[in-house]
Amino acid sequence: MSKQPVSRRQFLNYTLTGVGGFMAAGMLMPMVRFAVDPVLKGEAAGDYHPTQQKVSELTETPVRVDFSYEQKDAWYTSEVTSTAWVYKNNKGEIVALSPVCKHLGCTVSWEGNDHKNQFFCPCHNGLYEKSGKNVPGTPPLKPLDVYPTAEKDGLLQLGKPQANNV
Amino acid sequence: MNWNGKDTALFLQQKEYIDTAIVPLIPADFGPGMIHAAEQNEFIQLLVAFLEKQFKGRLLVTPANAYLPDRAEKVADAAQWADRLKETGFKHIFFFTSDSSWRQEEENVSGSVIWIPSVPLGDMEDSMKYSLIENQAKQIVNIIVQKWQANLS
Repeated sequence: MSKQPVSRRQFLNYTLTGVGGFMAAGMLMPMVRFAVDPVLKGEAAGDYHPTQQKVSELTETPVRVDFSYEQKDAWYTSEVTSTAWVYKNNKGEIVALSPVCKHLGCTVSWEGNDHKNQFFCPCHNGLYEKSGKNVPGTPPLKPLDVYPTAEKDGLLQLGKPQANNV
Repeated sequence: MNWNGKDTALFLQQKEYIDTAIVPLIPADFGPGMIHAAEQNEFIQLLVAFLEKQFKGRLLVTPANAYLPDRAEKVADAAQWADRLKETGFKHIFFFTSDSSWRQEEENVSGSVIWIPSVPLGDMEDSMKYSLIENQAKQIVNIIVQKWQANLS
């Protein structure tokens, strides 16, 4: 019997280590998965809507970017079209502003009604600077909301509009 | 502003800024003209929704004024709507319709009647639909802005 290369003791040791290892792994894996979950979620960041705007074609002049996505309103699903004014600022960063006037929600336009270098709201003559900052003395009291931006395959993606701190 | 609780509450707070009402005039034809009447409704509602998005802060879209096509008092009804809206404080009242019977009625209702021939949108792709409505609406945007400016000067 002693000629056998694996002794009974060794065999039991190996088997126990192997089985124990699997059991330990079975317990630890879900724990590790839970522990790193926030990291994995961060990568997915699915709240950006794709647009057709090529990032390389953006300039310092704001352009209108339309994009649409599906929105569920109770049981009613509809295709919503949204707009953003997108340009590169003097640091070369992409700025995407929401066109919704902070006064009562009309749609503002760039250099509308001959207001040079400003956003103009046709409803009550509200004005915003290029950065989205509201011009004092006009009805709006807050700057235009800003979209978080992302780039995928050279195309611009836009998130949910957030309050602007300029 | 749309005709819902949230927007109308805001309207009551901000009355001095919201001086324009849009009333869709929709024929309710339950006879042979049903398809055509329904298409008009679809078209007008989309057009009005686009204008509401552009000018949300200055206009209120009222519930549609639907009428039986052979109703004799329909013009009187619309005139009454306009009068009530004026009493509420609206300065500009626009009636939107695709029904050609309104074309000569502008002087009989105290508001502007904007008649736009409807386009059947039935099987059209969404993107086509949007660009079509947008093109139509842009011209109406000008009419509305001109009306506002005419009143200023």
